[in-house]
Amino acid sequence: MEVSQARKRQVIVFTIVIYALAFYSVYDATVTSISFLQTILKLTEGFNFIIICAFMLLNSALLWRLSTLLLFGNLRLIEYEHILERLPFTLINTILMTSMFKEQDFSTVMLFGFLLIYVKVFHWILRDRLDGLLQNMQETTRIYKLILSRFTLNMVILFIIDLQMVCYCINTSLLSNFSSSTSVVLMIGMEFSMLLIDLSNMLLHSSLNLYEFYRSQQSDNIVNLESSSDGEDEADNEDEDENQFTGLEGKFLYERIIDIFTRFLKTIVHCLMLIPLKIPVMLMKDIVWDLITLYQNITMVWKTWRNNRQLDDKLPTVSEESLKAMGVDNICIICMDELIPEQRSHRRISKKYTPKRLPCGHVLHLCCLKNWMERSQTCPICRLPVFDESGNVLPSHISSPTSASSVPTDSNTDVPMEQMPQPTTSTGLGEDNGEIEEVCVSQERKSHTARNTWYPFSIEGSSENSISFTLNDIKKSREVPVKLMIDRSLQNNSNEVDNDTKSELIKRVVIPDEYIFHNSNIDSLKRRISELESQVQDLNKRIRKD
Amino acid sequence: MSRAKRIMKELLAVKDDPAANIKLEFVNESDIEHLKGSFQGPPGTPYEGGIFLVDIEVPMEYPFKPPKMKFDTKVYHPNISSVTGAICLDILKNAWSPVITLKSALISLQALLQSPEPNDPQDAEVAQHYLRDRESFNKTAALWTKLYAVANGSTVGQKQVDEAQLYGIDPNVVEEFESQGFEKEKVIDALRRLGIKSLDPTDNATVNKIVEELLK
Repeated sequence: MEVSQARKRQVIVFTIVIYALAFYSVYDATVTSISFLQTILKLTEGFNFIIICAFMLLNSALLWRLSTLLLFGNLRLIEYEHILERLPFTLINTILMTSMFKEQDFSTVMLFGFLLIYVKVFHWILRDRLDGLLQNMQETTRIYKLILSRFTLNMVILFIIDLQMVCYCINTSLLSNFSSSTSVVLMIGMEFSMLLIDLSNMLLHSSLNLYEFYRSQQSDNIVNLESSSDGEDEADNEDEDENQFTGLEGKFLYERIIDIFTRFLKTIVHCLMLIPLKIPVMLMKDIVWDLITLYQNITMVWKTWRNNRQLDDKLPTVSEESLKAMGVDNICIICMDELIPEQRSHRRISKKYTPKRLPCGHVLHLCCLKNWMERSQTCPICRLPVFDESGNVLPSHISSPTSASSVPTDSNTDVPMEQMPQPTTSTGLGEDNGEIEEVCVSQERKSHTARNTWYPFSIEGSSENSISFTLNDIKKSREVPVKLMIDRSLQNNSNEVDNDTKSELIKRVVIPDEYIFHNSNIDSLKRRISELESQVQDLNKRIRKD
Repeated sequence: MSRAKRIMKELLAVKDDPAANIKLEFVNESDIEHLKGSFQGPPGTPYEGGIFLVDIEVPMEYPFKPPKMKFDTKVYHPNISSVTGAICLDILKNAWSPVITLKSALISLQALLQSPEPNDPQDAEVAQHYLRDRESFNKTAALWTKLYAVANGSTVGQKQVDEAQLYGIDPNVVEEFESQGFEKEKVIDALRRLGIKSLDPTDNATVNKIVEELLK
């Protein structure tokens, strides 16, 4: 607080000094010179020039502050950060761009450049505002309030500015009949049309979000109405489930498509500019960049779309029996709701709640799965890829149907429950020590680049203190025998209070040396093992509870 | 919406498991997006005995996007900003997966306190301290825990603490420069900028560097 006060005072003093100096130098120049021309000459040389420049910079900064205050109100911290992040790059880019036109009148280029940066900064703020708006949306927010917000007003204002600038630039360049000044105007016009496209991108995004919000509110209303009209039996509950709006399906894809569309528009504008502009170096960079992102986005969207379309057909639906076999754990980890077999769901629950089994054996609701697959083409629980490179569903890794039907839901593991050996003694070992899931963090942090190296395995033998199993490396198609041990030799008095025993437990993992051949593999093995450990602890806890 | 349902279930799950010593509650009941979580400092670390408050913001796309978490309690840790409480943890960023619940994310934070990752720091000054002088780092972290991570949330005694101690700087060094006529705050500032916590008085090069920094 004190710092900002001091900073404010500094700025005020600086402003006053610069103003005084500027007025003095203007006054001095007019008094000492005989003609207007001489005054200008005096002002644009030596110390006077520096003062005038500082004066202009200061004024533009003040003007910027004032206009942001008028348009957006107080800026949030993140908006400041984004501006400071992007400003240097944009400044250099603009200077480079303007330096291409040497023959041009320097001041017009400067003026346009300044204007461009001004408006660009406003666009950045607007984008951050959109994020903020989406973040703050709540069930209680009224939709018309969202539409009639400051955000919309700002958007309209910026839209008008951009449109005017583009029109002006096009008109002048057409009128001047491709003289020397055309290229500057065209360049500026192009930059503004970029901004215009950005703005329409934002508009589309916000309308998509508003639409989703509208839908969700509508479904809320329906639910409210129904429960108020006939809130009698438990069937009401299920109706509610049906009507609940679980977000716009494929929203992520729509967003990507909007991005592709605007990127496409940008590429077209860039390409159009190639014809009249004679120095296309800057443009070539933009075009190449456009094409690369366009290609990447389109392949991504195409792949996701194609893969998601076959999710329903290719993935096996889980039968009622195997769902029952899963016991208490038959919940979808994404929405944490119950998995309901299809036979029952025929009537009431729509098709999107069909339980589907992934190649790795995990079972999820179809709609939840679809939502996640738009973001990542891997199983959310074990991160095993669902599709192979050509887009086909991978064959199931799990052979026996009984083990496949059981899916743990609580912790980050993909060990089917029935395969876990029941530890013969659980005294002391299963004390809840609050570190169930924590073991793997440091490894995860390092190896998240090698996310896809996960391994299915089955347990081979177990004794009182150890479990041995074989990790199956699918990539190298070989098997790695591993032993997980809990050394309890140090633990003499298991009757002590929970908190004291835990530090005395020593857990050990034994992997034969010859199998450790790759760093990232070691990391993922360790992670797998630590997850197993936590699973063992979890199970022990459960047994004790029962 | 499924998001609201899931959050309610997660809250219940936290309440059902008192042994984990984790608390999770809404800031106000009408706002499902804003929660506060808290957990105990892991034993055997300088954070032992502290209670750490975490501010949680749940985005629209939860559980497909990670919740935004930051520490409300001031923590002295390489991966946590000592000023803003921002957290550098991959599962809260690109390694997010919908299996992770608010509870398990809080447990991961607890684990982060236990095993810092100084090579991927959020707070460079703290990370440097951690790498250079572990013992002094532990002392400072424990001091911060005692000062800020107290159960009732009061920060009594914050004013009385010596600033030098707060940043793990040897008070003798500060005194020495003070006796040379420099202001205490400036000395501490300069030492923090240079990342110097203790000093061998015969090491002239470092002394000169500090004096230079002070005279800037």
